[in-house]
Amino acid sequence: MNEDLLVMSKITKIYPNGVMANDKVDFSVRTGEIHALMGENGAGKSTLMNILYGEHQPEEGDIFIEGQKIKINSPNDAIMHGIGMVHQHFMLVPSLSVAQNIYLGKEPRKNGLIDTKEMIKQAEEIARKYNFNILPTARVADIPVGMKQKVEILKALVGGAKILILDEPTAVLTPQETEELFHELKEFKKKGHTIIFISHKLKEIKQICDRITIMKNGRSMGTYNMEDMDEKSISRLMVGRDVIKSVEKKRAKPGETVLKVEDLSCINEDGKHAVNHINLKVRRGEILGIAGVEGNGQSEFVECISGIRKDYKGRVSICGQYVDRLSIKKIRKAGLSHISEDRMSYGVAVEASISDNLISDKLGEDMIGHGPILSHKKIASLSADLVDKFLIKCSSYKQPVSMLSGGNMQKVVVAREFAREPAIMIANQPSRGVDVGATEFIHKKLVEIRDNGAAVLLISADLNEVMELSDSLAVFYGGEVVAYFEDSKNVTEEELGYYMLGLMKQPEDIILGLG
Amino acid sequence: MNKKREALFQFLSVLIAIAVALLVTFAIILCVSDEPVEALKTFITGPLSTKRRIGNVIEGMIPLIFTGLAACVMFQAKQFSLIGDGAFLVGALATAVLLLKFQLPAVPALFLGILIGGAVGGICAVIPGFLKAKWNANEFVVSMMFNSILEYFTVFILLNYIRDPGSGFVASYLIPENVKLPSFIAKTNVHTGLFIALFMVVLTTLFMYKTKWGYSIRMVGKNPRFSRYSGINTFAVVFSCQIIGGFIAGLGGSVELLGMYDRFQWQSTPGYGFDGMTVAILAANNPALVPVGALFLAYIRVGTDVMARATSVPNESVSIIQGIIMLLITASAFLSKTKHKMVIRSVRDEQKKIKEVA
Repeated sequence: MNEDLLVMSKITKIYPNGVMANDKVDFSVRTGEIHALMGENGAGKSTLMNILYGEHQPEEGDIFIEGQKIKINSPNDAIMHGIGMVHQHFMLVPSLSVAQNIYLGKEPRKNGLIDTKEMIKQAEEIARKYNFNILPTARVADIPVGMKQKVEILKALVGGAKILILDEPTAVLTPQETEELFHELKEFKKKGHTIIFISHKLKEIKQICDRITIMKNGRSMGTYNMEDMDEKSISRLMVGRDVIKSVEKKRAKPGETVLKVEDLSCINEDGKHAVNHINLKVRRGEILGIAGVEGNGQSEFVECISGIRKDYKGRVSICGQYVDRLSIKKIRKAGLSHISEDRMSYGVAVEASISDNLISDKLGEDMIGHGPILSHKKIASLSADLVDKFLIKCSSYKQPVSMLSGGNMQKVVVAREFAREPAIMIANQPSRGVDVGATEFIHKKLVEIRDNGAAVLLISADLNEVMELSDSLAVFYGGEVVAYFEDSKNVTEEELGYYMLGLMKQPEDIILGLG
Repeated sequence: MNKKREALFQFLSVLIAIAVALLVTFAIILCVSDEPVEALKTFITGPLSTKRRIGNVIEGMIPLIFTGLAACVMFQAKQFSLIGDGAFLVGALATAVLLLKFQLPAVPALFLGILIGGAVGGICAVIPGFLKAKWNANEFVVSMMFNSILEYFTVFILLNYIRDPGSGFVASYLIPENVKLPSFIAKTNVHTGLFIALFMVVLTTLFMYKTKWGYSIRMVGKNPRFSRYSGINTFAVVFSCQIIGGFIAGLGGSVELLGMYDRFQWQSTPGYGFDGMTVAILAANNPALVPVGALFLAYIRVGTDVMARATSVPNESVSIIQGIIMLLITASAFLSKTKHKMVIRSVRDEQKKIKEVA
């Protein structure tokens, strides 16, 4: 039991953009343990695991399995050595069935043809063996997130995985689904599998892990037995200080309505009613939080009101002025700012400089030059000012954004969106992939802008974040608002979980209070 | 990796691409020529051997600068349109038609003649530009097919409306002598179009880097989704950058006609649009560097020309050089390992610095 099954020794990885993600990291796991790999976002956990899974090649360092030095050049090599990985973002083919996904590339054959019956039978067997409740014939696109994750896990097990890497498996799960997953992980452990569990949720790790390795700034801070550690000592090693403090905020004093959404519906690319007759309003000086498991219409909802999506029904107004289906430029002019959930596609142009990224929404304004001309002087002073105010760590605002860490990239986005002093700020997953320090900073800024009289619409999959920041709270499920709490203090995490899973729904009249 | 190193790397990779291309060409010369040393010598020093040949290089640069700039503007927005080729041809045609069909005083004729070339060049880009902006029709394919239409359109106009039956070959009537761009260096054809070209270099550079519209073009090229989300009208940017490209290429056609020819005589595209893409790639899409890229291409053009006349190596060898350069510079994996090593070294340097400070 105390033999090291897998050893990674002195792993160093430098990305093409110059970020040193791993710096001589040592990491080892034993047979039959659940080993937590913990650290802030950008600490290098995912990089280390991607190296183990053969997706990246390290600049230096060796990997040993059962004492034998091996080279992992591709995920295929990793699978051959019994390493399986469940990614944070699932790698499944949505249009194929559950069984087809599990056996992708290793389908059972009969006379050279794929034997679908046998495949479904085998999928059922393996699901039963591990006590997984799945439907092998269902299309992956139609099943809930929790089940998708199970499909991913089964896929890895069918591939012969002895070591299972789970990259933030609970990030997309409700509290109830998380419980179920933990139960299953314990079963795996009994069956002799080894699990590497990446997370940054202290509570969960404490609950199921045997040992823990903590990473910070691309370095390993050591491996410890779980029973020797308490939450405080872990967080100290992880961030070098105590965990996120709750943001200090006064009681909200909501004023008149800024953003009003009337009967909004939209059908997404899969032909699903992604948003279903939503009524909602956000007032000056309040933060309205939207909780919900991802994929319940939040993304489409934000795309509609921010103008990225135009094919929807219903009306949207900002400060009494209808803005639905107007150009994004006009919607922004009406006072909307938008922190996108997808930083890399929408939030920044990575090849462009920081200052180019800071001015992209201000072309119609004199603050970067009169008329059609750019004033480099004005841009320079504006950029320097924003870099300073928003604590963007860089050597100069002329640096390309690609050289910044995730947290600093997000600060660039936040700086740009805050600079115009919006009437309504839409913050969609504002702290995703952002380190604790930057998260705290962004939270503070959101409260600050609220206190200055802006309306804030906060969408987050992170329950702690919504509960912490929101003044009032709505829950999305299946494209509908299923619950509304005028005061977010009146609800517990557990209760929210039930609404998020669609197990409960408030009566219409309470929900109507939102619109 | 800081900006300086990045720029250095880009510069070096262009140089290495050129060197590889030249080496391959030399290897071919060695194989096909009976007198390879002589051939090489004329290739390298030929363009500088007489005043006339130096003149040839500079004349050759002029159309390349125009089409190079046109390609830069479109490439910056990641629009890989070939419309520059058709616009160049039709721009020249428009100028010829205007000057032959309307009697105008010299100075307005020159101005109008060149402007109409640009305008018609811009109009050429309307269809492929609109199809791309509105329905995302691949601009490369559409413009390539549209170029054939433009080519036959040109032949049609030339044969039916402006052809001079008295000329010994298929060509238009003589363009009035007083509207031509005069040459200003004796014994060469280096004409005042050079100044128009250089003026356009300055103008395009200012446009790309000092105006909001130029900024929008660059941002759409870097990340169209980001641009749209920021409120930039990506439809207008995608559409307009192709029209601007067509306009500049059309100007180039007019200038080339008025500077170098007595009659309009192209029955197929002279191919400057494609050369412009090579120039833009050599210049890393920076309009300010276009003259350098144009000079290089014009130089090896004249070099192979001299070589072809003096030895047995055919003119086409220049296409090999051009092809290899395009291939190597546009292949993103070219030298990527070296680049990664540079990145690692620069990270290590930075770490050392931090340690020293601490």
